Amino acid sequence: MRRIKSQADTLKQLLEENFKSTEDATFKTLDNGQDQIEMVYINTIVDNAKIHDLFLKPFFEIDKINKYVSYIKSLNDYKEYKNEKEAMKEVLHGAIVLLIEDEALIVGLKLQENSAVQNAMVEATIMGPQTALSENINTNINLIRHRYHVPTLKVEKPMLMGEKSKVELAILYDEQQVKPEVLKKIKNQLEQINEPIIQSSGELHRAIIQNNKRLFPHLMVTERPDRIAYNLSQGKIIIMIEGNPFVLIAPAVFYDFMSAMEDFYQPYWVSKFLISLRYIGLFISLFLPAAYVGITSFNPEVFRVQLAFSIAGSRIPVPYPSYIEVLFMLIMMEMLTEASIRLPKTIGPTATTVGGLILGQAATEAGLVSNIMIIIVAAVAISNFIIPINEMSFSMRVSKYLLLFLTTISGLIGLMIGTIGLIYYLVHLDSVGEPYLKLFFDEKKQQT
Amino acid sequence: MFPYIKIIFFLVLCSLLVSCGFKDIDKRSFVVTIGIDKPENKEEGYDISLKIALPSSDPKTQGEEFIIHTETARTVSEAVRLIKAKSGNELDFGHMKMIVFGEKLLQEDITQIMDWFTRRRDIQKIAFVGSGKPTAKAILELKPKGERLPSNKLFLFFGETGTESPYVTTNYLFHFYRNLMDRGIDPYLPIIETKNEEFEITTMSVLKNGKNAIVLDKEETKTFNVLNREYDKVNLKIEQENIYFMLSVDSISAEYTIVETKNIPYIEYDVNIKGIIEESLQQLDNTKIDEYSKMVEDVFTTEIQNLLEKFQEKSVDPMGFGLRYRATHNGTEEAKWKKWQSIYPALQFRVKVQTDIKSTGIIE
Repeated sequence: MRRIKSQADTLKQLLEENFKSTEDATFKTLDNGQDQIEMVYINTIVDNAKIHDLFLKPFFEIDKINKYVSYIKSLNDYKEYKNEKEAMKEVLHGAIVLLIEDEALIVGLKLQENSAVQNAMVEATIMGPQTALSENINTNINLIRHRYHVPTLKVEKPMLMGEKSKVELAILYDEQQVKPEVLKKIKNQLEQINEPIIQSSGELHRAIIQNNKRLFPHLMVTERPDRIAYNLSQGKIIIMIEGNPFVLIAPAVFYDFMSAMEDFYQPYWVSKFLISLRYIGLFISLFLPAAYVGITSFNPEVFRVQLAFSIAGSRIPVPYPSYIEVLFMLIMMEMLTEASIRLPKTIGPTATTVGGLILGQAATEAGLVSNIMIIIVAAVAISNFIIPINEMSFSMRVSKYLLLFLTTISGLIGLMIGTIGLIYYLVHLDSVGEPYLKLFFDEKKQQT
Repeated sequence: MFPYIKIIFFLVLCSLLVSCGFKDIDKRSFVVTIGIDKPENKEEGYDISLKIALPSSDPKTQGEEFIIHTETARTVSEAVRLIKAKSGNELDFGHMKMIVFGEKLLQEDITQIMDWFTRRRDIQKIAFVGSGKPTAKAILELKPKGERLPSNKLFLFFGETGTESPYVTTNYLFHFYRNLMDRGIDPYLPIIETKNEEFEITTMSVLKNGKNAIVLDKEETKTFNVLNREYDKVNLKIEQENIYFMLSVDSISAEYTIVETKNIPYIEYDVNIKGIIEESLQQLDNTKIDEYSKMVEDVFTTEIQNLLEKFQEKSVDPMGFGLRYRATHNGTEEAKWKKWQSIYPALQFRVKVQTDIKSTGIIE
C-alpha cells in the first residue's frame, strides 16, 4: 500500500513542478461530495470535447469510486502506469492523468489537427488513386491497412524519434515477405540515431544512413499509399514518422526511383514506352550539357557538317568559352526552378514565363549564349523532371555538374570517365545491405 | 581514411590522357575540301588549296560563304603551316570530306602525297577522293547554285544521301589508299568536271602505280559501277534495228571466279539482272519477253567484255582480280604475284549475263 501511495504523490509533485508554469496545463480537482480525484493534462493537445463525456459525467453518475476506476481502466486508450518518466512522456503526447486516491491512471486522449488526407502533389498520376497520406501517423496506418488486408502485416512502434522532438515512429512490414536480416538492420540503425530533432522523413533518411554525406537517395521517399502497399507486398519495410505525409521505404534499388505507380495502371507497351522515355530523359539531363562542351570544344567532328557550322555560327557572337556559357545558362535554369518552388502558386507561372521565355530570348539576342544552348538547357530542364521520384531527380541535377566539370577539363574522355565513375559509385552503394544499382527488386525471380 | 582518394587520383590521371586541347568551335576554321595541284612553273612541290567554310551567325545565310587559301610548298604539311598563318582560327580538318587531285598531278606518281593524309589523325579516312578537271582549284572555287554549305553538293554526290547515279563513282580515302598500296588491285578516281557553273561527275580514271592509266567514258563508268558495286539503280539502253527500249534494273548481282586450266586460264563472270522495261519507242509484245531478255543479255555481255578487255589491254586491274588470285592461292607472295602477272595478260573473260525481265510494263 505504501508503494502506491507514493506513486500518486510523487507523480503529482513531478507534474506540478514541470507544468505549473505552463498556461495550457490543466490541473483539476473533481469533487462529487464523497470522493475527490485529480485530473492533469495539457489542454492544447487533448480532445477537450470528449473530456466531459468520458470523465466528468461518469464521475458524477457512478457513486462508488471503485466502479469508476474500473470504468476508467476499461476505456479504449487506457494505459498502465509504469513509472514517472513514462507518465510524463504520455502527458506530453496528449494523455490525461487521473489521480484517484493513491492510484495514477493514464488515458490517452490525443487530438491531432493534421489527420486530413491530402491530394497527391509530388507523385501525381493521371489515372489511379488521387490521394496521398496525411500528416497523422494513425491515419496513415489506417490508409495502408485499408489497401493491404493481410494478417501478416505488422505494425511496430518501437521508439520515439529525437531527444527533444520525441515524435512517434512506426515500422510496417509484411512478416511473410520481409527479409529478417534487413528488418534487424533497420531496427539497429534506428536505435543508433541520436539527433535532437527529427521532423521529416528526409531528415530521418539522413539519420538512418550512417554515411550522411550522400548524393543519391538510399531509401525511397513516397507519399502514395498505393506505392506503399505495393512495396509491402514486395517485402519492403515502411518507416513512418508522425507529422509528415511522406514515408521511407527500405531497401530501395535504383529502378524504384525510375518507376511511377502509373506504370501499373497503363497498358503493357505504354508503360514500357514510358519507362524507356524516363531513361532517355535521365541520360539527356545528365549528359547533354557535358556532351555539348565536349563536342563543341574538343571534338567538333562528331557533329554532322551542317550542325557543326550552325553551332559555330551561333557561337560567333558569344564572348565566353562554351563551358561558361553552359554553366551560366544552367545556373539560371536552376535559379528558375528553385524560385518557382518557393514562389506562391499565383506568381509561379509569371516567374517561369519571365525567366524562361524572355530571359532565354534576350540572352541570345544579346549574344551571351548561342541559340543551340537555349535548346539544350530547355531539354535538360524538362527531361530532369521526367524522373518520377523527386529525390532522384535532385541527385541527377547535381551529378550533371560533376560530368560537366570533368568534360571541361578533359573532353569526351572526361565524360566517359565521369560516366564510368558514376556507375562505379552507384554500384558501390547499398541500401540497408541490399545492392543499390540493381534493376529489379525481385528476389524470387532470381532464385528460380 | 579516405576511400575515395584512390578513385579521385585515378580520375585525375585519366584526365591527363586527353590529347586534344580545349578550343571552342567558333575558334576553329573548318576545312571542307582540299585541292592538290601541280604548280605551273615549278618542277617540284604542290599547290595546296584549302576551302574553308565561314559560318555566319545569321541562320538564314549560314555557311554559304567560304574562302580558299592556296600555298605552294614541297610538302602538304608545309603548305598547311603557311595557310595556318593566314587564317585567324585554328584549322580543323575534322570535317574535310573531299580530297581533289588536279588532273595534271595524276600524270605523276601520287603515292608520296598520300602520306600526309594517312598520317594525320584528324583527317577522316572516310573522306571522298576525286580528280579535278582541269584543276583541283577550279573545283574548289566553283559555287553551284543552291548550295547551302560549302562543298555540300559534292558530299551529296558522293555520299549517296542526295543523288544516286551509276555514273558517279564513289571512292573513299581509306579504300583509295589501300588499293594504291596493295598488289593486285588498282585504285580509281571519279573525275569531277565543271560545266556551266555546275559539277559534272560522269567519268572516272584508273590509276596504275600512282599514275593516271586510263580514263573511262560515261558508259564504261556505268558498267564499271554495276560490276564493282553491283549498283542496281541503272538503266540499260537496248538499241537495235527496229526496237529501242530502256530496261530499269531492280536488282543485279555480279560475281566471278578465276578458273585455271592447263591451256588458257579464264575468268567466269556471272551477272544476273532483274528488271522491268521503263520506256520504249515501240509497242512491245508481252509474249516476246524472252527475246527482249536475249537482246539485253547480248548488249550487256558485249559491254562488260569490252570493259574487262580494255583493263587487260592497259594492264590495270581495278576489279581486284589479282587480289582475289593472291587470296585464294597458296605459295610465297612473290611467286604468286609473278605467276599472276604472267597469267593476267593472257586471261580470257567469259561473261554470262542472265536477264529476267518481269514485264513489258504494258497493260493490254
